[in-house]
Amino acid sequence: MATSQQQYVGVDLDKNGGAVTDAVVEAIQQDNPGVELVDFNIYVKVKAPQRMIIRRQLVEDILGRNWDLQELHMVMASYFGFIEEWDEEKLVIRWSADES
Amino acid sequence: MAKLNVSTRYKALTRDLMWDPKDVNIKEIYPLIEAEGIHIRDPKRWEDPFRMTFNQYVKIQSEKEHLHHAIRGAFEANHGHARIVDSRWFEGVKAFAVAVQPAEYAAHRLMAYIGRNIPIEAIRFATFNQAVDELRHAQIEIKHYAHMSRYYDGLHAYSKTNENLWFNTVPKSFFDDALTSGPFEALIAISFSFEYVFTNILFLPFASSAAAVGDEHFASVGKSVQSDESRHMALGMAALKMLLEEDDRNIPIVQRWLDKWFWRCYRVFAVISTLVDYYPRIRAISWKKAFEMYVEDQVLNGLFKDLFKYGIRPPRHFEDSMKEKEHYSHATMRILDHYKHANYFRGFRLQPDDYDWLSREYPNTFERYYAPFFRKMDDHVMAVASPGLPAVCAVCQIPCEYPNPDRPQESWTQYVEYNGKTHMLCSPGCRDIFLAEPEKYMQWWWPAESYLSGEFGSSLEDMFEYFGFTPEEANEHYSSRDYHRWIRYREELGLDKRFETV
Amino acid sequence: MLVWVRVPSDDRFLSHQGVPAHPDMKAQELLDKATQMWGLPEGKTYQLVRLHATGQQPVHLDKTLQENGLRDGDPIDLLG
Repeated sequence: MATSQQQYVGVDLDKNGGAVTDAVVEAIQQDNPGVELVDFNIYVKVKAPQRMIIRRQLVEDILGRNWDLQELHMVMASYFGFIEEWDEEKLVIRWSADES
Repeated sequence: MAKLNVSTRYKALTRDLMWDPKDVNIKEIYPLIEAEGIHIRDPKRWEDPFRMTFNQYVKIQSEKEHLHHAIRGAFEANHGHARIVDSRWFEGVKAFAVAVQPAEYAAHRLMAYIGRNIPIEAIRFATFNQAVDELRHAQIEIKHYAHMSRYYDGLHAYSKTNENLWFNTVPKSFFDDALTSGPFEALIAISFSFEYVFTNILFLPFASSAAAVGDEHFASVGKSVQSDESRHMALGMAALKMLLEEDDRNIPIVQRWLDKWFWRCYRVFAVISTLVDYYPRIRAISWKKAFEMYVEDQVLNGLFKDLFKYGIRPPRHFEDSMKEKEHYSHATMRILDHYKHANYFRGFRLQPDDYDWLSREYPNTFERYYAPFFRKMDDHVMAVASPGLPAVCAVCQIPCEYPNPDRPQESWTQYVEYNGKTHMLCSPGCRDIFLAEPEKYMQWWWPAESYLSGEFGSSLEDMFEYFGFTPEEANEHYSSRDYHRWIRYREELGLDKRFETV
Repeated sequence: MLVWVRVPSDDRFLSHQGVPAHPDMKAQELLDKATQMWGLPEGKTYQLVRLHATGQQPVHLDKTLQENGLRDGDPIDLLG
């Protein structure tokens, strides 16, 4: 393989999202260990080993306004991993290879 | 009614909407449900991870449409086409136009087919959303080309070109293949293999390149389309997991489909590699790096590790796609240059900065195996043209002109005997797909045979009439009327001026 | 019928190209047609080889395509 054998999950976010994209990136960085950003011109790839959580409350706190998790559909251009939870409070994406 | 949370609201709106028919056998309503050998014990376990409901869908989608059309309007009003860094980019956009838009349209029919034939309510709503998404994509792409067509060649008789041109048999036969598969195979083919494994590499690098060269309109097309892909990927991933977890008998069937559709999708994306590495004069990323990021890291090194516990191994021939990443765009561009005099999007003479970039990104292969070919065009653009019409792969329908990545000076073409005929395949990947379903692929129709037998007339003019464009709309970009028109367009706007700063 | 002729020594890396043919034509005639189509120098000696799934088979230039066992759609290499 081209890079390390670490299994990453992640999202590709559209920079058109402006403050929302910035807030989501910051919330991911605060809530998840080992986050890496890959700048990709009009997108930013945010990845983390094995598991990633995005919490509505934290995004709201950073953004300073009400924010509905559904708004993520406007900026989340792609993701990788299995979506384990998706409700009004959080999105959890993960791999579970190590649980077998 | 009390306000429900996402999960209960979704269940309330998507469950228990069907009934057990008393007057007819359920198998008459869903005749394909058992045809593929798939066993589903508890369909209710399967749901759309995003739990999308109609009101959310229209709210989000209308916002996306407003955003896109605002950008489109501004781009057109501000003569955006004249402001990009180099007009050859539009040749790549034309390729995208005629290859991708029919695929979007066909994908909408395919999603409707899946929703019709798999009796699971929650999945049905996700497939219908996607069917509408695909129509949206087709229509915003058509608007894009309609505007382009005011200024540039090649797209004037779009429907005729789409129907009759040899190039278009590649995406069309791909979707015809998926549409003649059973509904579960179609789901794995498109929702999983096409959407999850490969659409990233289509829309993310190409939209980034569009932004890099200044084509804000196309960047917006790419972004708006891609913004629906997360949902499509979620559908494919949920389908895959459900099929693997529901019954062990499904596992070998799913493996077979993954083997087939990985390579099938990989090959239908061949032209995309040239849209990443060749057509943009400012590139966002190389095909090789994009392949490593999206396919090797995210799919092979990510997803397939998770699937190991089900007994699923990485798709057959994935090693070949990894070996080919150093060759794919160059070998595909070489094919396009062989036949550019009969195609609606042009090839082009590589410029010094192109040689620099390609040599730097592909130090092991470009200078050694491919640069000499492209340099032949420096003196005469037809120097590399083919003398006739090529034999194409019986599966992917691309001319059999891929090199063996282990021995790049040799052809990778495979020869197979079936039903009293020698069939040609571009690669071991396509060969194995042919051998698994020879009755399906021996029916392939390749327009070259009709051209050569004189079915559409005896002259070259007749052939172009059939294609829906003229010889002047084909060939090489920097010697074309499109290039000269673009230069004049810029002059009229004063964009050719150089301002000195003292 | 159509046969597909390739010239492996050509440095453009082209596929087999379609050549309209007839079962009763001599293989020499096919060779002449293909030589002209590919723009190969005249006056040199060339051979045709039929490719199939299990190997290659020389084409006898003094025999017809049918006598050589050539079928519609067969791939052929032109060697110089």
